[in-house]
Amino acid sequence: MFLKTRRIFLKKTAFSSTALVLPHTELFASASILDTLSLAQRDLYGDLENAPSFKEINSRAYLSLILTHSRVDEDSKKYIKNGAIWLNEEAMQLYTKPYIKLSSSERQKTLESIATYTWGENWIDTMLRFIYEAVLGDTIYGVNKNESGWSWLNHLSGLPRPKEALL
Amino acid sequence: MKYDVCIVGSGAGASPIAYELSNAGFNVVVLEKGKYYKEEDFSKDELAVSRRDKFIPLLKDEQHVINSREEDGTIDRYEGAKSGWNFWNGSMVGGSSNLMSGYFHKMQKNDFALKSVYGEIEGANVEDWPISLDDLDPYYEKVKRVVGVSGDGMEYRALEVNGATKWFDESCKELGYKSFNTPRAILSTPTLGRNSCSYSNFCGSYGCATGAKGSARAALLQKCDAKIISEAFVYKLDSDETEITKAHYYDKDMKSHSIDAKIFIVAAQAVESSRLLLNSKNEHFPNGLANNSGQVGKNLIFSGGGVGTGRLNKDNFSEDEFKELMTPGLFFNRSLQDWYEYEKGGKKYKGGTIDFLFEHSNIISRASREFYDENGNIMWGDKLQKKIHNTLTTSRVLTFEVFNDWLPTDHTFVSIDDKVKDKYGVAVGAINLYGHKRDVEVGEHLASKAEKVLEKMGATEISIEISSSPPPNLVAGGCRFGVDAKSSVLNKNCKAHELDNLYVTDASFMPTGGSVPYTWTIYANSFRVAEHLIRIV
Repeated sequence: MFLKTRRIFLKKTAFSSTALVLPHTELFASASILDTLSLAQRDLYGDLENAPSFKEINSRAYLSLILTHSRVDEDSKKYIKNGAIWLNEEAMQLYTKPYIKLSSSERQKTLESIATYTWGENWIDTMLRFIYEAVLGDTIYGVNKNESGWSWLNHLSGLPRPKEALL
Repeated sequence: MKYDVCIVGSGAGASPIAYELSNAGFNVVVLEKGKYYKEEDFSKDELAVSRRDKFIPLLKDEQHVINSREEDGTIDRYEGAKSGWNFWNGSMVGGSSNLMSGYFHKMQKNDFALKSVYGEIEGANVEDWPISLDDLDPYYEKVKRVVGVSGDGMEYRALEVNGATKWFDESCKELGYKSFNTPRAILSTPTLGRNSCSYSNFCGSYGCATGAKGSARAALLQKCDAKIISEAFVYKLDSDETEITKAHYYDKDMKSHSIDAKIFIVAAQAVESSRLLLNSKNEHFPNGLANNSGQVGKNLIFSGGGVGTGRLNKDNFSEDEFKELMTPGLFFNRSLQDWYEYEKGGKKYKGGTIDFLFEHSNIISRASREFYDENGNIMWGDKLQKKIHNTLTTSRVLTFEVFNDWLPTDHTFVSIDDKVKDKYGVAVGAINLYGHKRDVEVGEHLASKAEKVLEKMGATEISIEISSSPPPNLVAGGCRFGVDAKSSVLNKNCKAHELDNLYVTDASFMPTGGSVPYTWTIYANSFRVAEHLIRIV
C-alpha cells in the first residue's frame, strides 16, 4: 500500500498501542537497552553496496534523540524500549543468551522469530521507520551524512531547508 | 477599548472579513490560538512537518474525543491523546490554508439545491442552501483576483506541469473523458505583492516559503491592518439575551484577557467553532450560545470519497520519456468532472470531482511504504534496501483523489466531552462520526472511472481506498445556515438566528459540502458576509 495524499486519513500506528512495562531481568546486567536497540538497528538496516553505510546514517544518535524528543509521546518511547526487552527475552528463549551476545545469523533468526508475532512485527516496523528517518531526514538532525541517502534514491530535497532542528 | 469587529480564528473563513473591514476603515482584532509563522519560518523539513506534526498541538495538551458509530449502532470511543486520532489541521495564523494544496473548484449550480434537485435521501438530513450559485459567484470571482487562482480561464496563467500530463490527456481522450487543468490557489507569476511558485516539490502539508500559495495569511492578513493577536485561545463568549458582549481568551502564559466589540465573528474551524458556542453556556442560553434550537454542532460533514494510486514504471517508457516523468517540482494538475452528475439504474445521482496529482514527494513516507513484501510480510536488511531503491528510482506513483458529498445525518455531530479537559481546563470537543452508505457508493463509482485512466496509462499496482473515513482537513457544517431558525443556526448572511451580533463564517455554515474541496467556497462566502457587514456596521 502506498496511499498517502493531502487528504489525511485516520492514523492508527503501532504507536497507539499501550506499551506494557515488563520487569527488568538479569539479562540487562550485561546489555543496556540502547546497546540492544542500536545492534537491532544495525541488523535491520542492511549492507547493500550502493546504499548509505550504517555509519553515515548515524541511527544510534538519532534514536537517542527520538527517545528524548518533545513531540514523541511517552508511550511511544516506552514501546521502543520495551521492544528491546522483548527481543532479549526471545533471544534468551532461543539461545539462552542476550541479543548482543548472539552471532549475526542467530540475531537474524531471532528477528525472524519475533516477526511472527504481532508485537514483533509492529516493533520492527517502528524501528525501521526511525532507521529510514535517519537515512533520509534532513542533515540538520545529524543524520543522512553528506546527503548520502538522498543521493542513493536520486531525491532532490525541497527548498528552503530547515535552519534549525525541531527537537 | 471597544473594537468594531472581533474575529475568533484566522483561516479562510475569518481572513476575508479582517481584510475587507480593516481596509474599509473599521477597527478589527483577530484572535488566533496558534503561532504567527511567516514565509521565513517555513522550510521543507519532512521530519518536523510530516513526521513530528509540527503544526498540530501536542495531543496531551489539546485533543478531541472521537465517537465512531458502527453499522450495528454500537459506538467506539477514542480519546485523541491515547489513540493519536485528531482533527487538528494547521494551528497557526492563517489556519489550515497555510498547508492546503490549493485545489480550487467552484461548487456547481445543483450543489446549492441538492434536496430540490435529487430529492430526499433516507437517513440523511439534506437541505438546500438559502443562497444560489448566482449569489456566490461574484465572490468566487473576487477570490480569483484577490487571493489569486491560476489555471486555464483563471485570473493568472496556469502553473507549469510535468510532461506526463500529455499521456494522461491522451488516455482520457481515448476513453471519452474531458480532462482539464486543475485551478490552483498558487501564483504562477509574481503579483499581488507576493512571489510566484518556486516549484519546490513540497506543497500540500507544508507552509509556503515564497508566498505564492494563497493562504489566508499571505493573501489577506499580511495585506491589511487588522490587529492579530496570536497564541490567544478563546475559551468563552459572554452574552446577554440578544448580543455577545465579550470574548475571553488565554494567552500563552495562561493569563486571561477579554475583548469588547460590536460584532463577533467565530471562524475557528468547524469543530472548534461549535465547541466554543457549546462551551459558552449562560442563563440566556443554557445549551450553549445560539443553541436554543439545539442545532449547534449538528450535521457535521466531511468530504466523502477517498484516494487511489497507480505506479508508472520505467519499462513502459523510452529513456527520454522516463526522464520527463521523473522531473521533480512540476505539478500534475489534472481533474475530471465528467460524473459530477450521473445516472445509474435509471436514477440520477450527484457525483463529484476527481483530482489527479503525483504522489507527495516526502521521501521518508515513500520509503516506508516499501516495508512489506507482496504477501504482506515485513522485510528488512539488504532485501528491503534493494526494494526501496528499485521502486523509488524506476517508477513514479500517480494519485487520484475523489471528492463527493458526505451526507449530513443525525449521527455525525460535534458535542462536548466533559470527561476530558485540555491544558486550559476547558472540556474538549467530541466528534461523533457515522458515514451514510450512499457516500461510499458514489465514491466507488467515481473511483472506477479514475481507475480506467490509470489502466489506460499502463499503471501497475493500482490501489483504491474509498471509505467513510473522515478526512480531518475537509470538515464543514455544525452551524448550518438556512431560512428556518428551528432547523438551522445561522441566517443566510451567516448571522446567528438567536443573537444580533454573532456571525459564524468558517465552513460551519455549509448544509452540504458540494463535491469539491471547500476552501474556495469558504473564502467566497466570507467575502460575501464581509460585504454585508460593511453595509450594516
